Amino acid sequence: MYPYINIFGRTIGTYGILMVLGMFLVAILAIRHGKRVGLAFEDVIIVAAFAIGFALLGGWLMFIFVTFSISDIIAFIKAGDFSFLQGGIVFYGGLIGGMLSVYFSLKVIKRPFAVVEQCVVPYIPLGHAIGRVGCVMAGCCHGAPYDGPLALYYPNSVLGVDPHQGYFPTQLLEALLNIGICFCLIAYRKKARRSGDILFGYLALYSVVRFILEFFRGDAIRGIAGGLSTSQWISVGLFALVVARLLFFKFKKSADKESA
Amino acid sequence: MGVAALILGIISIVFCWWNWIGIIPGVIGVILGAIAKKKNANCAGAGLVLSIIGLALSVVLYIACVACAVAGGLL
Repeated sequence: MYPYINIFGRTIGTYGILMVLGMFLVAILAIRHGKRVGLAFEDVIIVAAFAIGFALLGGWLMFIFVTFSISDIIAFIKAGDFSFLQGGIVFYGGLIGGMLSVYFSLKVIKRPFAVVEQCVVPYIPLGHAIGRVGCVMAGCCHGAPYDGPLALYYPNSVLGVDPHQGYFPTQLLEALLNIGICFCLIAYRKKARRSGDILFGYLALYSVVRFILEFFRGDAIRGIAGGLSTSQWISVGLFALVVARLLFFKFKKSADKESA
Repeated sequence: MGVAALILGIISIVFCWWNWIGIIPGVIGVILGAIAKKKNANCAGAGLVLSIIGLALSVVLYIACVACAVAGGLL
């Protein structure tokens, strides 16, 4: 598609531009909702800054560990070749990094997680959807070879794929599903009772979507173990976490009833 | 804290062309700028705005670098 644009003679990746646009959109919508629930503009900015820093670090680290084995990394370091550090961003690494960042940002802003969660979490899939449009522009994260309706062709992909081969539009499908998740979470926000309900609702929906979409992916730069991709294993882990949380509250509720 | 955010914002804009280096002062500058703005400290608004611009530019250009690295066969 259009992986680069030229501004003042400098080549800039459209993926990066769309990723930043997605981040800005999430921040603006979070600030807008924050006004309604009494979360200050500055607090949202602090949460966003921590999340961006940790998400980039997490996404980058996961890309390196998914792409290279530990022995490869040791061999690179021994040879003095640090080119392996120039990697991409894996969304799941970013998501886990972003979740870890909340611990630090809550310490700074001194507000309850439930307030921050309802302002930020429902809009994360919307930002992610815009990022996926960036993937279409860059020609990365594409689907398996496919010549049916809506097949995408990448004449100048950053991954150097065959320009005459059609690919399944996994990025666009994921973008659409992410928009759907966003609307579901906005609707669920009013019904959520416990702190963490919206976040775990998002993890449940996204892990299912990602697990299924991975079967349609065709890009080679991803780890595969036991017939499943790394992202599918992470999806299984996150979904198990959601189920474990539900079971915990169910047993807690029945134990409270018995003691009462 | 506002002045620190201002300085970090300027550093972030200056280094935004240089791989990921601009992201670190950008993130710290945004956090310090927002805290300073809550306390109505001097230069807080300017520091916050410059840090946000520096961080945004650094992320855009870093991701471009990543795409260049992939396209150049480094991976």
